[in-house]
Amino acid sequence: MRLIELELNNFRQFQGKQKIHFFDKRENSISIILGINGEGKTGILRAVLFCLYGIKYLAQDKSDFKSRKKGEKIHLVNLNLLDKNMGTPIKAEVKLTFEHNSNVYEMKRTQTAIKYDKDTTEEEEVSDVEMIVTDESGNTYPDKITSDIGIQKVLKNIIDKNIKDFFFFDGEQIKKLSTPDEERRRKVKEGIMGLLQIDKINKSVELLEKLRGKQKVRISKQTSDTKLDALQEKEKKLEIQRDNQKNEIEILNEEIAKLTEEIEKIESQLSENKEIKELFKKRKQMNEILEVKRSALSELKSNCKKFLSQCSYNIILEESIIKTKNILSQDSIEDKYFSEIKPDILDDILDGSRRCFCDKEILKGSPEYEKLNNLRLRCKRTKLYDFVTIFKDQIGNIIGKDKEMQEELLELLKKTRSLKDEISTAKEEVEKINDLIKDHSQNEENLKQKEKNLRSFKKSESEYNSKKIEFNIKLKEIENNIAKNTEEQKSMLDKEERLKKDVRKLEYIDSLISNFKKVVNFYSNEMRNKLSLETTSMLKKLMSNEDENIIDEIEIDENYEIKAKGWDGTSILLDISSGQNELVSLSFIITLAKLASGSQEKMDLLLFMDSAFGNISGENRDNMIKYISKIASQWILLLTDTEFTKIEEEKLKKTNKIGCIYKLNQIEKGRVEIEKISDISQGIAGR
Amino acid sequence: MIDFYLSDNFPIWKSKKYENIYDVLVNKKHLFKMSELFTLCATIGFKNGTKLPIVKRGTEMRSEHFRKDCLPVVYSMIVNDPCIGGDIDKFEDYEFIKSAFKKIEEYAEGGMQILHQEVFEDKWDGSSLDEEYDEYEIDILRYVYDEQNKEIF
Repeated sequence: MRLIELELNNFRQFQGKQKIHFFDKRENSISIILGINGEGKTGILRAVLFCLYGIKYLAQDKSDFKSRKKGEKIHLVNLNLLDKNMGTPIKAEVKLTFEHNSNVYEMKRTQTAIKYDKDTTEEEEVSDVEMIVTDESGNTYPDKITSDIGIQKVLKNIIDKNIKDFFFFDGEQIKKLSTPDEERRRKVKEGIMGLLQIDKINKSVELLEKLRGKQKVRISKQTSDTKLDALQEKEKKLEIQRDNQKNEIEILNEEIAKLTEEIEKIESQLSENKEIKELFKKRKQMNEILEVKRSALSELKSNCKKFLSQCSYNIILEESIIKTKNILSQDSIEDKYFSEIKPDILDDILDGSRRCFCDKEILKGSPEYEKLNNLRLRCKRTKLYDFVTIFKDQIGNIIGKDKEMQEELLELLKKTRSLKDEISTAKEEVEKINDLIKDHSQNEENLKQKEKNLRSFKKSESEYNSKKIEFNIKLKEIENNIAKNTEEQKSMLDKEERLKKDVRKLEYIDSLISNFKKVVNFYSNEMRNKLSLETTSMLKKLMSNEDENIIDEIEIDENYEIKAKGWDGTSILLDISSGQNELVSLSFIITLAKLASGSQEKMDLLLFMDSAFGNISGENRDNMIKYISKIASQWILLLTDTEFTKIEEEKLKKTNKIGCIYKLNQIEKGRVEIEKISDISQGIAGR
Repeated sequence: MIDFYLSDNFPIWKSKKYENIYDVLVNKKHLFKMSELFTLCATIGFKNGTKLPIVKRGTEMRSEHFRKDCLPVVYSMIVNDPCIGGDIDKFEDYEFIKSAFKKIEEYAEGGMQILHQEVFEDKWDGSSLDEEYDEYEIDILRYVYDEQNKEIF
């Protein structure tokens, strides 16, 4: 995506028609808009987001929500005009022209408001919107899109609303990107999966699951078997139970997330006390150690499980198995059961129907007949030949692994004991630290209430977690019952010859679903690994030598949340500065765009940044200018005078990529004019 | 031909009394397949010479679902048990295998009683096993180790 032009008409402080033309030449990818605080910089970001997504409130408005008076709103229509034209509706309009994949999109969104008296202004709830698309040959699509749903569908493939904050952002609010709430986390994950095109495979799975449902109905129609009907009925009920259980778990998860957020908030307040901060740090490290040990114990337990199910009975019966081996190895057994001649052949020779000895008949009573008859009697026992052979082989296998099994058993128990001891010591340590934190908080009068709340939240969190475990056990039980039911249905269907073809189709659909799910998992994991690695590498480029050592590694977890790890592997996202946090988010965004464009050198990366440099220190700022100007296909910067000093001006000009510089001038209260600086080669910065 | 893997189907019974333990360890905790736990119990009963009749039957297992890896162990008990009188020749008769399994069921009942007393007692509330507890695998394994290393006087 690349913005071409923004036209504002009576929008916020921008009275009358005013324009920003972002670039003339493609290589001039940097646009700069300068303005001191309160002169409408954020109004420009607001205009773009309003036009594209219909958004009236930005993240910072929401964080100020509580402090705003009841009924106080953000006004999009120019207030001066509303004052002057009391009782007359005034229209604010934003036009945005942008290109994406050689198509040009022209969007227009309007909002009407009317002011009745000094205190009453009414703004329409719904804004009018339209989009016109022109392809690379200049052909405009005949139908203008005038519904917001239709437009959002188009934008979903360009910059999905769920992840817009990654590309249009405010440096002051950047921290929220790496610490999203539960709802946002889900939406961001959906958006990123869409950007990386993983959602398409998920959609295929959904379609296949629908197809599987249809195929099952088709099969059930062909059979009159009432037991099968009953099983299918049961399956439906079980599926409803499973969905209900999942919903309950989801609700619990949300509750837990809310509590965790509250706990983090209080702990962060408590951590402002120096001693408590130290204790929190220590506890965090100890909890992480505990987590590693717990996960090692869980892995060990799964080995124990495997050993139990495969070897435990062999160990208990060891002596008898050795005895069995001895019995089976006796010569008498060899003689009895292992004959090379098939009894059927001997029967044929003895009754004269087969002549095997030079066409000579073996006469009854002759010495040859007697010898063959004896042989035939011995061969009776070879009915057990296969049985004894398998038995002997398998007993041999068990004895061969005898010693190995005993060693493994001892090793498993030793490791389990030592890990359990270590976990118990670490737990005691955490408890001790908790007591110390409690003591410190109790001593400080102002922290007492917070500590009390913290304990109550933690208690609720632990109760919810126990409930969650209980629900998960129930869910597993239901899922097992579903699997059993499916297995039973399958075995019934197998018996019906006429259904076999349809059953094969069903199996094929099942295997496709399972394979697609594997692909989603694999692709998603691979993408996350790549994102983690490349984000870390990008961060190292953006950070100064001094800061580089603070963050050792960036990890993107399964919810596509960003985790920053320090040199000792502990999570430090909450401990780093806002500027460092901004660089972490930026590295993530750049990598995301790189992967989404197939890791091509020239990637489609638009960055629209308000107060980009506010929190960023000197060397990091230089690195940012150097790398982002190289990588981004378009970089729009809304800067204050302190962010655009002579140093930044020089660095930015050195890139030779500045296409335009605009300045926002306040003419009167509530009225700002956009001025294009015609000669950008001259010195512009005042400081 | 006598089929080693028991595909000629017959039921194998467990008692109602220990049904819950089988259910928790197999279906809830997924530590074993049903026939694996049955075989472990049978070997414990066999080794300790504890054989108990099944007073009230619980749910059945089908022989065709019996795990292949468990069969040599079960046959070993049959061959070595003087009460069953496991002469190899007798395996020629499928009816013999079926009746031998009745004795194995009794050993499994005896073995489960031992496990119940030695391993699960603290986790048993009189009618069911504690499903929240998550270290049954370690406890059973420790019992197996002790059983293997105990001195027989």
